[in-house]
Amino acid sequence: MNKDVGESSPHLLPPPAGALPYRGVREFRNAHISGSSSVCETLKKILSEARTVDARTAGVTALFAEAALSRGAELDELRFRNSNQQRLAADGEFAERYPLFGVPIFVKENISVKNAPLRCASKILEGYVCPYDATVIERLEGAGAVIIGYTNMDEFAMGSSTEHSCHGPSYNPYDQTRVPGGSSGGGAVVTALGLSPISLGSDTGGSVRQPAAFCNVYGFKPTYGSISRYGLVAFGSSLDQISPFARTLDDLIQACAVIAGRDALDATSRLEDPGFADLLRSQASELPEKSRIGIPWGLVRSISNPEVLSGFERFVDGLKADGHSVVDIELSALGMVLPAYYVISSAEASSNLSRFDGLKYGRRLDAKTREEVVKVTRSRCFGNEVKRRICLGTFVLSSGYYDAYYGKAMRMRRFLAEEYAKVFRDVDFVLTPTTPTSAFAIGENMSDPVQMYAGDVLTIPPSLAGLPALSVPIPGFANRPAGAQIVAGLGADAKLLRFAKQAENAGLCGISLLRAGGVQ
Amino acid sequence: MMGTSLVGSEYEAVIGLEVHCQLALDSKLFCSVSRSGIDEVTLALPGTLPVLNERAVDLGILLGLAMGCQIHPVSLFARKNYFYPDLPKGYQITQFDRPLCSGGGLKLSNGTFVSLDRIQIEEDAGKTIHGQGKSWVDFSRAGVGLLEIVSNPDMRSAADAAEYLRKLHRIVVYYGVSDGDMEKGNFRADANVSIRRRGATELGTRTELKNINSFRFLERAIVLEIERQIALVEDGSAIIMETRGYDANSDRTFRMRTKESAHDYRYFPDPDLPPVVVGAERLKHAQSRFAGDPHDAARCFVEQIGLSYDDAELLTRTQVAQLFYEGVAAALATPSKKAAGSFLASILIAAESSLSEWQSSDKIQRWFAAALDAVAEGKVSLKVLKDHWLESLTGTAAAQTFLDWSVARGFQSVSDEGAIAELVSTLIAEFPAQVAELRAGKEKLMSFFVGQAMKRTKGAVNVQAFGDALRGSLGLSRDLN
Repeated sequence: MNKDVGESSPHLLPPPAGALPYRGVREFRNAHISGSSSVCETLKKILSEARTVDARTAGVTALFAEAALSRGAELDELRFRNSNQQRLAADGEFAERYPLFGVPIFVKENISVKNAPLRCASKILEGYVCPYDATVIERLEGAGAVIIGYTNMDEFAMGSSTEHSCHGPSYNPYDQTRVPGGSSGGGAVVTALGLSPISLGSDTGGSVRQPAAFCNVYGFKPTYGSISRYGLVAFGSSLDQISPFARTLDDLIQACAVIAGRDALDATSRLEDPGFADLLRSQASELPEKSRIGIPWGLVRSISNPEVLSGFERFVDGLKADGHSVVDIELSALGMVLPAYYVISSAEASSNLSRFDGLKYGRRLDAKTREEVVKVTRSRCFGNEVKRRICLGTFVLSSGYYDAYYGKAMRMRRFLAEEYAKVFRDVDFVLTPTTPTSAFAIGENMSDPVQMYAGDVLTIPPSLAGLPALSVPIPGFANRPAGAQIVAGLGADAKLLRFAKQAENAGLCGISLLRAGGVQ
Repeated sequence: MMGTSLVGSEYEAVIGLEVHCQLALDSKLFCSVSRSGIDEVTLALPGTLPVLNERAVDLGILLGLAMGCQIHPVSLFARKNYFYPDLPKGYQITQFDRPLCSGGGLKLSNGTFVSLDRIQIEEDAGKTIHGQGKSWVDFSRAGVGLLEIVSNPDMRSAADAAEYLRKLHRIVVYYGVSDGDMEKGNFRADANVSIRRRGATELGTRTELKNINSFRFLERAIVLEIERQIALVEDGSAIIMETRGYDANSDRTFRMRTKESAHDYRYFPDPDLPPVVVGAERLKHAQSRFAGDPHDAARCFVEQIGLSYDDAELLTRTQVAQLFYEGVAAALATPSKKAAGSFLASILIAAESSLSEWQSSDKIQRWFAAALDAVAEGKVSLKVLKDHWLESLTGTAAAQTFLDWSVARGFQSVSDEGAIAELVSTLIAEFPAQVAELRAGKEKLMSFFVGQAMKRTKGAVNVQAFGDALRGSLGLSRDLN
């Protein structure tokens, strides 16, 4: 833990009431490797805390108590053998080999975990037990992590509030009358509550960054293709990216270093090394750099509500004071991103969700004919938001409409990517608030999907362009959590995180839990 | 039987073929499970993703070169969306507006050029099996790699179509693109058939004959379909656009389903698969394997080496066999080349699975040539060589077994005068009655003794030397043959 974190800022928000004191990846790992606590003890504690701490926020949908404890016992055995009988490696090397040794991790309910009840918050997957591990799960476990449970989400990741869930909604830990954001709302909840230092969500148009902003944690969507999608249930394949939540950037970078990188099972995974491991090693010696930041002020001022804007402006002032330069930029394509995004993601979703026909796995409703079985099962077991998008996607791909909608949206997408490329010739980062508003009230947008969609207007552009985007916690008006989104050029993930780390060190963003709760 | 030929008829047929051939891959098209295996990708379990087996592209390029197609530097996979229980993802991964190859074609013996619309890569579906009021789905075929070869409607008779299919089959098998096993459905054709009055330029309403897996059935089904359509038109009835099947048992075509309206498959580029890029290097590599028309190689074997037409056909059934034979023959004296050809042709079918391994090994080619030299010198019989080679047909290790065997035998003991003399006297002592008959001039008993000698030596006797020695000891003339 960097001792500077949080100390210099009086502005940062403390964790929500009832949250566990901060324990980062390093604290968990070192405690387990030194033997000051066993992995099993940690897990038992977390498993019981998950039930009480999360009782009113409902972020967790399943706990893998048995599997986690048996995995914990294996890890304890491994450590015991290493330190007593046959010393394989010094503690330092051991920590390098298992950087997440005994670290409990929650993942979103759309990431395949062997033997787990993968539901995607949908009735249609009731009864399905996943027979294989996603690539990210294999990598986490390979690094010593223990997957302890699933977190709540909007059905098939479609939504911005975690209200469209077969499990019922989750609630914002800062204000339980409000949503935690979505679709990966449960992941933001458990991270904010300190139930795990890292949790994984999936981000298609902001599904990790927006709940991160609403719940006062970090949420990072890396460059498209940096993290394997193998095992992630597809929503919009060309946009989906598994993305971590964390309470500190150190934890976040550690998560990325473990899960990112080329995967032979995902043809869209990038060949280039995303550089997270290097970043992890080089951080300490890194000299602060002065960056050039572009802000589309026109758009930001016109759509952000005052409570978000005031926090954002204070963050920008802090960056300037820290020596960074800020310029006003224009991205003309931003006005077209919402329709383009909803056309493309819905088109892909309509095809991706075709496999849920009630015949092979999950729930099947009875009917007279095979066609009827498919119809009845899909009509009754998909929620309204999912059906809305399937209908939209089916329509825009229909012959006769393809060029007018899908074709046009794809052209728009290329135009946006080119415009970004031009901007990044001049600036290092593009900065906006993560969302135009802070967390809205439960039920507030349920009857107005278009209003709900409009909230994604700032997170969608980097998704369409495949760019890395990080939401950093900044306090908004009246101590409502808010987020600033930092976007970098394609593949500049490490550069982005290094810049954010400077801001965190300077106390401009982050969580003040480090002072308030202290480090356990 | 009417109408097997439309010569002189006022109608002409217009026929195009869509051929599906199963790619000779070790795995499925988009995952690493074996070709008949089932895994989470095959079943389209949530979260699974396709990864292209790149060899499919190389095989597609090879066929494209053989058919004279344009090979596109960039092609795309697309999703064809429709619900069917045997289609696990709810869409088929295929190619649509950007196929791997387009253009090209082949020439029939009557001079007709059958041009191709495209060659594309796609995955097969599973099989739905109906019975006892229930349906089952067998997913083992789902996700198997196919090439679809789509011709333009350039054929004018059932015979044209059958010849086109035969020629295409020959090329596909020759280049190892597919095993071409029609009985298993690994090479099957859909025929689009319509008729029109001779001289008309507009196409008539077509019907599609689906999944025909024999040359004969294809020809027969098209003949029947042309007759049926002519009868309908003559009768003043309309031809309905529909899909028909052919039932060989009753020798009839039958309606499978009508195509009332074109299905909207909502094609779009598959976001899980990057574009297929065929760069200069890759194309060059495929071109290096491209060896023209196998017919030309066969003709060369007949004319220059004197092989029988059948043997030459067999040796050019696959390019691998041809290359292996050429490699062996290169090391042999001219007279032995022919013997080697006959011999190789005779073991070819049994040897098929080992051929590519043999072909890539100089060592095996040398052993093979040495063994055939030994035959030519009478050191070992062809039969023995064949039996022992076939016994050891499971790859390099077994080929080594064969080598050990031939070295142990030295290919010489059987010609050894002492050994043969011993064999002769043993047999004379053992079969006095047969000796008497042979002495009395019953020549066919010679083959009885040769048979016995073969048996005792496990076939390794030099027949000529044994015959000479036997006749010598019995005081018979040596030149009876």
